[in-house]
Formats: sequence, structure tokens, C-alpha cells
Amino acid sequence: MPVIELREVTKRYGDKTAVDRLTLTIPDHAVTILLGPSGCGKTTTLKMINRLIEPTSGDIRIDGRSIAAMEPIALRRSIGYVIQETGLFPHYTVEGNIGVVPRLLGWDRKRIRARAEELLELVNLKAVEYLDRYPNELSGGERQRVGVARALAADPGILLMDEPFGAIDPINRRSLQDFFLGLQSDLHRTVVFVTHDIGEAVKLGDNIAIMRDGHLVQMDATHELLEHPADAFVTELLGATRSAEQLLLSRAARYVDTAFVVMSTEQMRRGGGSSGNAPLIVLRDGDTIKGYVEQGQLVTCDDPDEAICAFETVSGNGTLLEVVRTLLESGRKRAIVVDPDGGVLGTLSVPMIVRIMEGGLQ
Amino acid sequence: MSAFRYLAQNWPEVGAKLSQHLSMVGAAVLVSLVSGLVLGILFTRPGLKQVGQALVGITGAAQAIPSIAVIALIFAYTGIGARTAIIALSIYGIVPILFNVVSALLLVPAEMLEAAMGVGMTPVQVLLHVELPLAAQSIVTGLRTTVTLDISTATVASVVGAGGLGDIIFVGLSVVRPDMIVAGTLLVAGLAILSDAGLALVQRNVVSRGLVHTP
Repeated sequence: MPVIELREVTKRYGDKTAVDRLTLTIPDHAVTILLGPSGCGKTTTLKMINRLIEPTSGDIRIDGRSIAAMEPIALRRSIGYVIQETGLFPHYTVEGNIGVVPRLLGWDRKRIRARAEELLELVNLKAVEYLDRYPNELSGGERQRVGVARALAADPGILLMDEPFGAIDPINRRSLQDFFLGLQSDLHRTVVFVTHDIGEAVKLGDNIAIMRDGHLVQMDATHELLEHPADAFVTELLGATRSAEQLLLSRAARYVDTAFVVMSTEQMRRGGGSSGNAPLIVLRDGDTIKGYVEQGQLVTCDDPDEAICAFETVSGNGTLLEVVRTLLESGRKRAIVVDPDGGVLGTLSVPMIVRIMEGGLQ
Repeated sequence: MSAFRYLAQNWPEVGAKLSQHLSMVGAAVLVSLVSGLVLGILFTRPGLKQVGQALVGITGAAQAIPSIAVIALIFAYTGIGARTAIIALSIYGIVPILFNVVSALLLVPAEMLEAAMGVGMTPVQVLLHVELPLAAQSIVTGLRTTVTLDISTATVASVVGAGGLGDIIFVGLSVVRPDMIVAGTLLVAGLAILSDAGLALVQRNVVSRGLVHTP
């Protein structure tokens, strides 16, 4: 799959320079965010990749091939393009919209229909219900899912996304972002994603390229960027989200509560639970974690089995954010954090993570 | 109802006038539609949009020119006959079509055009698959205005010897036969109403359901 390289790319409009000698390598299989204030040249940069805008000078290469030498129409058909709401054609049904590129490529009707059904399923919309609807019969979030499905129709290696979720209210935006992350973890496309929303950038981006006044300020893996902002501009841009996001993106293993003991269910039943002084007992029979027991509760129960609490297991390599999400979604109180070999590293709860963040933000 | 009696008693002759009227209007509408579409599309292409904008202003004002003036002017060059009427109606009828084609095409959002290009449509495909379908409602509305206008204006063409239903009205006028005047008027009005209803049906079929704004 393709790597996109920009070399010394400049775009001038009259004497105004929109993009100034931008050199940037966008890695494959990853989401690279172009982030910056409005007018920083991020959208211009994106549109130069599918030649909606021609650079004044410089070279853009996909997989080592200069796009200037490619036929622009064919180039665009080979790249998925997602923009804000207006991107769907209002006079086409959902099927018509998803089928736009396949039709241009000359697929037959049957194949287009099958592809549209397949893609609707992928973006979690029921095909029978949605194929024949028009965009004005969809919610904003549904329209955006169809927009993503349309971009994926001809199975492009590259997706260009220009503030795709910008016009959506915050709650639906969050669920669209989750949906997109889930999709990307299956598809592994090379995604270039323009946004001015720092939270969105940190959440979705494997890499973030920060632009200002047509220049590249910093391009790094997201966690690198958060931990080592290149200059005051980046620090200010990331602002308060920096420390909060940084903490939430830290690995769970670093913050686990280690005040626990491990024992088997048998040992606990035999009264082993009251002997230790750790407040928490993690029950493990062989390789299988059975649950955990809080010391305090064990005392009040006649049958020790009643005190065993349900739990979630999370990987120590996961982020605190993932732990919070897992716990909130499952409604469980505690997560047992394990290492890749199945060893118990400790436990985490939402109140604990909140305390960690409060401490970290001071 | 003496008008209906007149129609019944003189049917072959009235029928001939009706068919003259229809072919005159039909030819003129066809010329107006084709030239209105071609000019309208041309003057909304990148680089010519300013011309299109100016055209919307001019055609808006041009609708105030009385039809008889156009007929008289063409008559001065081409003389008596249906040809004069068809030329005059064609020119007169371009105005509503051109106005609607240009204004509707100018109203297609720039983002929509960019989306169409972004998915890899050629300029011709953008026109055929995006611009014209989005403008269809307005274009057919312009066509309906032109057809209605031509049907009534063709009546006046009788004065340049073009024939048509106007003959019945003008003869009725000169020999003072109110039944003939009413009969001619009823036919013209009926024709206009019928063809407009027919075009309304066409409109419903060429305009995508996705563009009809129902809450």
C-alpha cells in the first residue's frame, strides 16, 4: 500500500503563499492528521494529493511515482475522498452515491449493488433499509457513514478525508470517530485526515503533522508529539488537551494499583482471603482469571462465592483511555490489567484514573 | 353555448388551425430549448461565469419586452408567413429557458462540483451526472413558462399571416362574432393548460425524489 511523499511542495495564489516548500512523508497503513488553524494550508495540501489543486512547484509521489505524470481523472478514481456533508449527491440514492466511482469505472449493475450492500454492512447500516434512501432522508451521522462507504467503494489504498465529521454534533462526532477507528483497524488504509480539532487529531491520528502559515511545524507519531512538542506554537496549539490527552494515552501498566494478592478460588474458600492484608484478592485458577474479591466484602458474606465480582481484562499495553472506555461500556467497576503472558499487573477503576489525571494535571 | 356550436360546426377548419398552431409552437419551443440549454451551459463554464451572471440580469429585464414588438421586428426582415412567427417565438421563448438554465447552474454549490471532480468525474460527466440533474427542476420550470408563453403569443402571430388559432379570434373580431372569439380563446387557453399539466408530469419524472423537499 502506498506511501505519499511531498517534496518541496509550494502553492501560490498570486502573491499569497498557501503552502510553502512543504516536505512530508505520509507513511502507509496509518492515519496521518494534518492539523492547524484555518488558513494554514492543510486543506490545500490534501487537495494537491488528488490534484484538485495543482502545486505551483515541487513534487508529490505515491509509491515513488510522481502524480504529475498520472492522469488526474484516473488518479482521483483510485483515491477515496471524504468531505463534509455536502459531499453526497442529493439526487442519488445511497446506492447511487456509493456506486459513483464503480459506475465511472464501468462495473456492471449487479456488482455495484453487491458492493453497496457489502459496504453498508461495513459501516453498520442495514442495506435493505438504506440502499434506496436519499441523502435528505438520512441523519448527519448516517450521511457521513455513507460518505465513508462511497470513498471505499473501489477499494482504494488511500483515503483523503477533509474535516469529514466537522458538521456533526459532538456526541455523534465521537461515535463516528469510534466507528472510523474500528474500520481502520480492519482495513489499514493510508489515510490523510484534515482537522482543526485537536481532540479529534489525538484520538484518530497515528501521526500528526502540524502546519502553520503553509509550513510544516512538526510531524511525529502522536504520542511523540504530545510528549515532545517542537516549539511554543505546538505547545500552545495542543494546549490543555496536551496534558489530559497525554495522560489518557499513557500505557495502563504504568498506573495500575498493585495492592492485591493472587490466590485460587479454592484457597479463598478455605479462608485464605482473610489472612492477607491486601485490600484486594484476584482469583486465578491455573491460567484463568475468575474474578476479584474486595477484602471488606468477604467478611460480610456467608458464602465467599457471592463476593466474587465480575471484571474486565485489559492489556497493560493499552491506554488509560481504553480502560476507561472498556469500564464505562461494560458497567464493571474494575479492570484487571494483564501483561502479554497473562500475568496480573494490577487493577484499575474509573475513580482511580480520575485521581491520576487530577494529580497529573496539577 | 354558441362557442361550442361554432367549434362543432366548423371542426375540420378549426382542427387545421389547431394543428398549425401546434406545429408553430412546437418548432419554436424546440429551437428555444436547444439554444437556451446550449447557451446556458456555455455561459456557466469556468471562465465564462461572469457572462452568465450578466445574462441573468439581461434576460430578467428582457422578459418585459412585449411579444408583439418582437414579432413586428422580425416581420420587418422576413415578411408574411409562419416562418416569421417561428423565428420571433423562438427568440422570445429563449428568454425564460436561458434565465432558468443559467441561474440554476450558477446555484449548484461549488463544493458539490468539487466532490464530483474529487471522485474522478470528467467535466462532461460532472455536467451530465451532477449539474443538469440538480438544475432539472428549474430548467423544466423555464420550459413550462416558454410553452405557455408561446401558445398565447402564437395567437398574435395571426397578424403576420402565420395562421393558427389566432385566425379564428381575429376573424371573429373583424366580423363581430363573439362566439368565434370565445371559441378561439377557449382553445388557446385549453391548449396552454393541457401542455402545462403534461410538462408538470414530465417535471415530476425528471427531478430526483432526493431533491424534492418534503420534511
